[in-house]
Amino acid sequence: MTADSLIIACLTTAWLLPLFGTVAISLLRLRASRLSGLPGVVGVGCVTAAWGLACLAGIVWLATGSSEVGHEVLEQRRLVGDWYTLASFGALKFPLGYAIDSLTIVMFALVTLISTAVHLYSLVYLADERTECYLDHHLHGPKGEPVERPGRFGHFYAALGLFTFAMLGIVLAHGLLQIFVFWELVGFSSYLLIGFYQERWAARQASFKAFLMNRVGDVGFVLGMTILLATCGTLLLFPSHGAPALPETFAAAVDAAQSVPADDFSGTHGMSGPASYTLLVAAGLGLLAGCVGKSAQFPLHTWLVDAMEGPTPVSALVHSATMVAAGVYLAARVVPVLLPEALLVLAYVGITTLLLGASMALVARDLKQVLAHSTISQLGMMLLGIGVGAWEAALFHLVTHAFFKSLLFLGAGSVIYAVHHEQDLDRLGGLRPRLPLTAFTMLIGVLALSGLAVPYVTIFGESLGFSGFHSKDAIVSGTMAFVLKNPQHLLLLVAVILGACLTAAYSLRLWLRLFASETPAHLSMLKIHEGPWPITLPLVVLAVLAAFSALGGEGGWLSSLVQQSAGLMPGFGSGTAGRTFVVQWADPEARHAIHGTAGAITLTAAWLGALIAWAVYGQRIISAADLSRQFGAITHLATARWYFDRLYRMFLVQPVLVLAGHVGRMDKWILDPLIDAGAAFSVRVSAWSRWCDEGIIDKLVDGFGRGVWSSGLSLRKAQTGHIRQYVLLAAAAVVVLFLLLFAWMPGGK
Amino acid sequence: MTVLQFLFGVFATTTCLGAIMVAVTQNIVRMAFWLMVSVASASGLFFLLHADFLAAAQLLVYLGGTVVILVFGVMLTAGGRRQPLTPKGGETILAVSLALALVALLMFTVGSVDWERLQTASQPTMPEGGLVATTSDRSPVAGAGRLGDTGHALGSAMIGFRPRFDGEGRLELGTGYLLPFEIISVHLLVVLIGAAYLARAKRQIPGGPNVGRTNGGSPMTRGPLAWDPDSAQYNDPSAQSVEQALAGNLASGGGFSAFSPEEPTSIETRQTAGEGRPA
Amino acid sequence: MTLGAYLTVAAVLFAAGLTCMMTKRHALGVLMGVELVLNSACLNLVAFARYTALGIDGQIFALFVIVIAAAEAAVALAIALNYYNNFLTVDVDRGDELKR
Repeated sequence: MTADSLIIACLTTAWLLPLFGTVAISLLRLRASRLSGLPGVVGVGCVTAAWGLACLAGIVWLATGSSEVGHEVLEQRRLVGDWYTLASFGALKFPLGYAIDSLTIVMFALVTLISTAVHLYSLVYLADERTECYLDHHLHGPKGEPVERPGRFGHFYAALGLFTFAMLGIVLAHGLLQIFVFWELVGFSSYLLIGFYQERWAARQASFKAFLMNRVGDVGFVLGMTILLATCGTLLLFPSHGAPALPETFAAAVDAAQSVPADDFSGTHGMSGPASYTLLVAAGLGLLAGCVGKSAQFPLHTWLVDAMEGPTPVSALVHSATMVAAGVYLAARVVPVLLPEALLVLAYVGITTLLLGASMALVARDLKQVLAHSTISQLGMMLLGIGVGAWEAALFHLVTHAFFKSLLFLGAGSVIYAVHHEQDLDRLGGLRPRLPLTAFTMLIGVLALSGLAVPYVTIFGESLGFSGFHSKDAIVSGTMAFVLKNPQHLLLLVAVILGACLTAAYSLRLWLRLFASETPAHLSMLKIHEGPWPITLPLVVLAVLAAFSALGGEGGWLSSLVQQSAGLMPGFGSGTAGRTFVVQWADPEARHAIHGTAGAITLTAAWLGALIAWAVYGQRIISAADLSRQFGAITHLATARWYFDRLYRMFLVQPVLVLAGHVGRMDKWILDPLIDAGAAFSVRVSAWSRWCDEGIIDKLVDGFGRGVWSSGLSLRKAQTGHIRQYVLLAAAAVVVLFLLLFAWMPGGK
Repeated sequence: MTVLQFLFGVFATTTCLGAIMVAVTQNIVRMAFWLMVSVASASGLFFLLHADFLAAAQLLVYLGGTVVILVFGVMLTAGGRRQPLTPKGGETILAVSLALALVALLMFTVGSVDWERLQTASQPTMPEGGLVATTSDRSPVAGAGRLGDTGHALGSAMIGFRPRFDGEGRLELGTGYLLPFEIISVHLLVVLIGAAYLARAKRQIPGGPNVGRTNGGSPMTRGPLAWDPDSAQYNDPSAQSVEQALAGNLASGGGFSAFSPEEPTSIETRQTAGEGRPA
Repeated sequence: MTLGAYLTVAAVLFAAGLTCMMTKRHALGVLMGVELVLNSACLNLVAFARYTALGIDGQIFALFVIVIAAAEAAVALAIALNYYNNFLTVDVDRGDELKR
C-alpha cells in the first residue's frame, strides 16, 4: 500500500466512522434503555478512532511529502479521485470523489479533535439526559411544575455523529455538488441539535430560524452552481483524471467574457457564445451567499445567536468551531471563481459583520451570546482576509479560532454546568476561587481571542503571544498590504483595527465579569466546584492547542501546512483588474514586508481595548453605566442587536403575514361563495343527468341485458356438459369442413 | 421387398393395430397395454425415419408415461364392484363412422398430393435424405448432419445453433431454438407445480349436510350435499363406505402423504360424517 | 415406403385416438386417446423431417410435442385424480357441473 492510498483509506474511514456511530446508536436505541450510557461510549469511540486515523493520515502526509517549510517552496501535492459517478449527461459528469491536500488534512484533524473533545465533554454535560423522565426546568407546566419528558442521550449522540460525518464530507469533497450535499446535511444536523430541547418554544423557533436563514443563502449557492455549470460545464474544484476543473474553465470563461462589450448584460450570446462578465460575477456572489448564510454573516447573521438555545457542547462544536467555519472554508475553496468585484463585496461584508458582531458582543448579557457574537465577528474577519487576498491568513485564523473558540464555549459550558444553567452575566461573578481550572483555561482562550501579546519580548525566538495573535496579525497585515496598494479602500483597515480593539475589550469583559471580582454575585455560587474529568480534560487539551498551535506565526508549521494547499489562485498577486474598477492585489512579499507595522498597530489597538475593559470591569475606575450612557445610541442599538430581527420581522415576515391575511379573507369572502355557487350548480346538473341516466340509458342497458339473458337461456340447451359429445362434434365439424373445402377447392389434384 | 420395407410393414401394422385396439378395448388396463404396443412400434417407425434421438425419447417418455397411466388405471378401478363404463351403442356407431370418414378424408388428401414433386422442388441440391448431408467436415457442430446421428444436431439447435443448408447446398448456422427451449423448460416447471397442486390432498371440513347449499339432479350428486367452500369438494353421504374409505385414503394422501398434514384424522372425520347421516 | 405410407399410419393413429376420446367414458381412456393423437402428430412431423426440406426442425418440433405430451399427461393425471376425489368416479359423463 502506497502512502497515498494509505492516506485516502485513513481519511475515508475517518469520514465514515461517525456515520457508523450514528447508525449503531440508532440501532442501539431499539434495544438499550434510555438509562444506558452506551450511545455515548459508541459515539466517543467512533470519533476518537476517526481522530486517530486523521492524525495517522497527517503523519503519513508529513513524512512522505516535501518537508520544506517557509515561503519559498510550496509544493503542490493533492490527491484527487472519484469513487463513483452519480450521473453523466453527455460530457457532463457528476462524480463523487475526494480531494486531499494539506488543508484537508488539517481540517480533518481539527474537526475530529474538537468533535472528540465535545463528545467526551457531553458524556458529563448531558448525563442527566440518561433517564426515563427528564425534568426540563426551563419549561413550566400549567401549575408551574417542570415539564417531564424522556431523556434523549442517544438522540444527541446520533445527531452529533451525523454532524461530524457531514462536516468531514464537506472537507473531503472535490466538487461543488458533493459539497452542497453535505452542506445541506450539516444544516440539517445543526437544525436537529439547535432544536434539541424541542419542548422549548425558543429552541424550536431558533432551529427553524437557523434552517430558514441558511436556505436563503443556499438559494444563492444553487444559483451560483447553476451559472457555473452553464458557463464552465463542470462543478469540480480540482482536476481529476484529466477532467477539467473550475479554475481553468472559469479562467477561460472570464477571458471569453472580457471580449464582450462592457454594457452588454444579456447573459450569454445565443446560448453558445461567451458568458457575460456580470454573469460570472453573479456566480461568485451566489456561492458567497451560501457562505454568508452558513457563516452567519451580515445580513444573514441573526440566526447564530438564537442557535445558542442548543446544548452548550453543540455550540462549541457546531456553532463556533466547525459548521460556521464551513462557510469560510467554502469561500476559500472557491476563490478561483471569485472575480475582484465579488471578493471586494466579500471584504466589505466581512468588516460589516466584524464591527456589528463586536459591538453586540460588548453589550450582550448572556454568557453564550457574547461568545456567539464574537464568533460572528471573527468569521467576518476571516472573510475579510479572503476578500483582500490574504487567503492563507484567513484559513490560519480559521484553525486557531476553532481551537480557542471551542475552548471558550466549553469553558462557558463548564461554568453553566457548575452553576446549574445560569447564563446571565449579571448574576454570575467571582467564580475564580471555585473554578480555578476553568478560569485559567478560559483566560488562555480570551487572550488568544483578543490577540494580546507582549511586544518585543521573545522566548526561544518565539514572540510571547498565543495562537490568535499570530493569525489575526496575518489578516491585518494582509489587509494593510491591500490598502497600501488600493488607498480608496482605507475603510477596511480602519475597521479591522477597530475590530481588534473591540475584540480585546469584549473578551476581557467576559472573563472579568465571570471570574474577576472577589465576591460571588449570588450566594448559591459559594458551593460550586469544577466538573469531573471529561469536562476538564478537553479544556486543558484545547487550552494547550489554543496557546501553542500557532507557534512560529506565519512561518510556523500550521500556517505552512495551510499555505501548501494554496494552489492555483488566479488573480491574487497578478493584479487582475475587474471590469468596473481596478484592484491591485498584494503579493505575499509585500504582506510580509509590512508585517511588523501591522502587528504593532493591531497590538496597540488590542491593548487599548484590553485596558479599557480592565478599567471598566476589573478596577471599576470607570463606571460601566456611565460609559453606556455616554454612548447611549450605539449601546441601545447594539443591545437591540441593531434591530435586525425587528427589521426582518417588519419588512419580511410582517408583510407576508399581512398578505396571507388578505389572501385568507379573499378566499373566505370571494372564492368560497364562488365555489359554493359552482357546487350548487353542479348539484343541479347532476340531478338532471341522473334523471337522464335512469330514464334512458338504464332502460337501454336493461333491455340489452334482458335480451342477452334470454338468448343465453335458449342457447344453453345446446350445451350438454358432456366432454365426449364436444369432441365428437369437433371431429364432425372437421370432417364437414374438409369435405366442403374439397368440394369447392379450385384445381383439386 | 427390402429389409427396411419389411420392418416398416411390421412396425406400421403393430402401431395401427395397437391404436385400434386401444379404441376398441373396454378394460382400462388392456387399453394401457395396447397403447404401449402402439407407442413402442411408433418409436420403431422413428428409427426407420433416422430420428434416433426422438425414437429413444419416445420409448422413454411415452412408454414411461403409459406405465404410469396403467398404474393409475389399476388404482382407480380396483376395489369394489362398479358399473362398467361402456358407451351407448348409438354413440359408438356414430364415433366409429366419424373416425372412418376422417381416415378416408386423410387418405384421400395424402393420395392427392404429389409428394415427390414437393420433395424435389423444395430441396434442389440436397443430397439424398432430407436431413442427411455428407458435409460433416464443414459442420460447425461435430457430428451434426451425419446419417442417423441427430443427437448433436438437436442439442446444438436447442442451445441456439442450427446447422442447415442454404440455397446452394452450403451449410450455414441458422437461428436456433434457445427461446422455445427456455419456454418449454419453464412450462415443464409450471406443470410440475400445477400438477402437484392439483393432486394435493385437500383439507375437508367435517361439516354436516346442512352446511352448504343443496343440489339435486345428477345421479351422482343426488341427496343432500356438504359443500366446503375452501376445498370445493363434496361430501356425499350416499356413497358407499368402501368407496369413501378409498376416497379418504386418496384425498388425505394415503399414497401421497407428503401433502397431507392431518392424515389419520381426516379419514376418521370423513367416515364419521358419512356414517352419521346415512342415505 | 414413402412419405405417404407414414402419413397413412399417422392418419390411422389419429382416427383411433379420436375414437378413443369420443367413446371412452373412463377419464384415463380419454387421456390415452389424446396421447394417440399427439403421437400421430409427432409421427407426421418426423416423417416430414425425413422426406422434405424441413430437416432437423421437424424433429425439434416433434421433441417439443413429446414434452408437451408429457406435461399434458401429468396435468391430466392430476385432474383425473382430483375428479375422482370430487365425484368418486372416473366417468367423464358425470362431470357436467358447469352446465348447471
